[in-house]
Amino acid sequence: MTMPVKNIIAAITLMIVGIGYGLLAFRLPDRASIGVPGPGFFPELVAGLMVLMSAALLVKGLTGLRQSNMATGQISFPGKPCGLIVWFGLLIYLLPFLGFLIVSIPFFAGIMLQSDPYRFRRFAAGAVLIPVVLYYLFRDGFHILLPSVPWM
Amino acid sequence: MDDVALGFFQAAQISSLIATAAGVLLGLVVGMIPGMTISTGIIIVLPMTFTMDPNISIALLLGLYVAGMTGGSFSAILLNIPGTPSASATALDGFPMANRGEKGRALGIAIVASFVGGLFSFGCLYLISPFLASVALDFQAPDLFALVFFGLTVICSFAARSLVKGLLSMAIGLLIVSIGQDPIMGTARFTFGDTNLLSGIHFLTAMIGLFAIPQLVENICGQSEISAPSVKSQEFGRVFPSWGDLKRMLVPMMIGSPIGSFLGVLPGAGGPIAAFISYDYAKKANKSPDQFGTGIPEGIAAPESANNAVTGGALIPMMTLGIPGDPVTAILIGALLVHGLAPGPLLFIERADFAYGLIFSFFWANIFNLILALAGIGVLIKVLSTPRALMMPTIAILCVIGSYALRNSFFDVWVMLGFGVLGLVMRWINMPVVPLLLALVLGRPLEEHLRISLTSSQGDLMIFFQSPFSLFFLGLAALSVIWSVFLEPRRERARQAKRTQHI
Repeated sequence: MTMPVKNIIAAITLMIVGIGYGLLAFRLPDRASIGVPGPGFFPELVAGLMVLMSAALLVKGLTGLRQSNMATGQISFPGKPCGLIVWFGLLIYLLPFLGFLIVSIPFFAGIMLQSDPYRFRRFAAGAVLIPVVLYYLFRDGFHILLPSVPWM
Repeated sequence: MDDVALGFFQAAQISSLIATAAGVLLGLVVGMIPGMTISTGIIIVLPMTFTMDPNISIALLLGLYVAGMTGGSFSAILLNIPGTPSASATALDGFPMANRGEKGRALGIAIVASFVGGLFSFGCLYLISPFLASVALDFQAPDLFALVFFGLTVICSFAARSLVKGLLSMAIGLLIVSIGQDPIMGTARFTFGDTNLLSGIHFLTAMIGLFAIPQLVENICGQSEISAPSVKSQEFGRVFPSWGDLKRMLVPMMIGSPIGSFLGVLPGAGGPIAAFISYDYAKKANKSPDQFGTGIPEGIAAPESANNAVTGGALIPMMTLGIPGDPVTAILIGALLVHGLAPGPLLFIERADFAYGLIFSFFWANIFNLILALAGIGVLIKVLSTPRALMMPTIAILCVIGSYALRNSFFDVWVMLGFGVLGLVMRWINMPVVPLLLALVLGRPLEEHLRISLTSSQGDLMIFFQSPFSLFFLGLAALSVIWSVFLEPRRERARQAKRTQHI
C-alpha cells in the first residue's frame, strides 16, 4: 500500500474520531460562568485541531495519489505482528485468573519460539527460569506484588 | 548545610553511587544493542525503581541515560550498526578506523569524547538550571501556557517529517490526556462511566506501550535485527587514547560539547541532529576536511562529545521548566512524578537538595561512564551476542510488569497493549510518536494554564500578548511552525531526488 493511500485512510479515520470526540465535547459545559472556560472548552479546541489537520492530511493524500498516479497495490495481512498482539492479549486476559507465574511461562516460551525458532530447544530452560526469577525478584527484591492465585 | 552541599552528599552516598554505576552498566549494554533504544532500556528498568528512594531511583535512570549514549557508539564503531540513532555520525569515522584494525583506539576516543561532552553539559546544567528556575518563578499562567505551547509546537516541527502528521500526533495525545477529571473543576470527561478512567490514563503506561511494544514486534517479526555478530575482545589492544590523539580530539570536542548542550536544551532537536551538526562543523574547521570519513579521531570525537552533551542539555528544561526535550526526559518526568516530585521551577525551592542531588548524580554518571566503559569494554561487548530468544520475551514480560506495578491494575496493562497497537499503526502511517508522547506529559499543564489565563482575563485573548515572556515564547512557536512549513517541501524534494538517484 502506498503512502498517499495510507494517508487517506488515516485522515478519514482521524476525522471520524475528531468529529465524534468533538460531539462528545460539545455535550460538556464549555463555559463555567460568563467569560470563564469550562471543562468542554479545551476538548473542543483539540477536536477542531484534529478535524482541521485530518482534512489537511486528506488533501495531502489525495494530491500525492494524483501525482504518483500509482495503483493502491495489494494489502498484505501482517499475520505475525497480529499474532503477537493476540498472544499478548491472551496473557493479560488470563493473568487475573491464573497468576503471573503460570501464565508467563507459556507466554515466554511462545515469544521465544517466535523470535528464534532454531535455538528454542537450546534455551528452553530460560522459559521457566526467567519468569520465576523475575517473579521473586519483584516480589522479594522490589516489594512489588505480582498477581498470583490463592493456592500458590 | 546549603542545598548544593546536601545535594552533593546525597548523590555521593554509597547507595546512590552503586545505583549510578548499575545504571551505567545497564546503559552501556542497552545502548550497544542495535534495535534497543535508551527509552526502551529505561522503560524496562522503571518498575524496579517504583519502590526505591527517589535519589537512588533517579541516579539509576540517569546512569542509564548517560551511558546509553556512549554504548550506542560501540556497535557503530565495531559493526557499523549504530546502537542508538545518536551514534549514526560516529560510525562515519569509527567503523573505518576499526576496520583498519584500530578497534581499541576508536572505542577509546569515543569513550573519552563522551566523557568530555557529558562533563561540559554537567557544567551547563549546574550553572544554568538554578538561574533559569529563578527566572521561571516569575512566570504567570499566560507565560507558562506560551512556554508549554512552544514546547509542543517545536516538537511537531522538529520531530516530524511532516508538520501535519506531527500536529495530528499531538492532537491524539491531547485527546487522550483530556480523558478523566478536568484539571480545574474536576468534572468527569469521556469516562463513559468507567471508574478506571476517572483518574485518566497514566502516561508511563502509554509510554511503555508506545515505545516498547512496536519495537518488540519489529524485532520478533524480523523487521530489525537485535543480535549482531560477536566481536573478540582480544582484538582491541590499547583503549585509552594516546597523547597525540588527545591533542587531535581537543578542537572537535570544543565544537561538539557546546553544540550538543545547546541543542539538548531545545525540545525535539536531540542527539542525532547534534552529532551530525558537530561532525559537519568539525569537518569545516579542520585543515584537511577530505580526511573525514576515512577513520580519523576528529570524526569520532566531534559527534560523540555532542551526543553525550545533549543529555545534560535536555535535563535543563526538564528540571527547571518541566518541559521534556526528548522521550527519555519525558520518562524521567514520569519517574519523578511517581515519587511525588514535580519537575519545574518549584523543585529548586521546595526540594533544592533533590534538584542538586540529581545534578550531581549526573556528574557521577559521567565519571562512572568513563571508568566502566574503559575498564569493562572487553566484557561488555559480549552482550552483542546475547541470544534474542531470551532477550525478547524478557522485555515483553517486563513491559507487563511495568504497566501493572504502576497502580496494581490490570486495566493499565490493557491500556499498555492498546497503546502498543496505536504505536504500530502510527509507524505504519509514518506518524511520529514523540509529539503524542509529549502531549501526554504537557497536555494537562497546557489546559490548566490556558483556562487559568482566560479566566483571569474574562476570556480576553490579549492576555497572551501582554507579557514579554509570553510574547517571546509564542513568537518562537510561530517561528518553528513557519520554519517547518518552509522546510518541508525542500526536505520532500531532497528525498525524492535521493530516491531517483537510487533508481
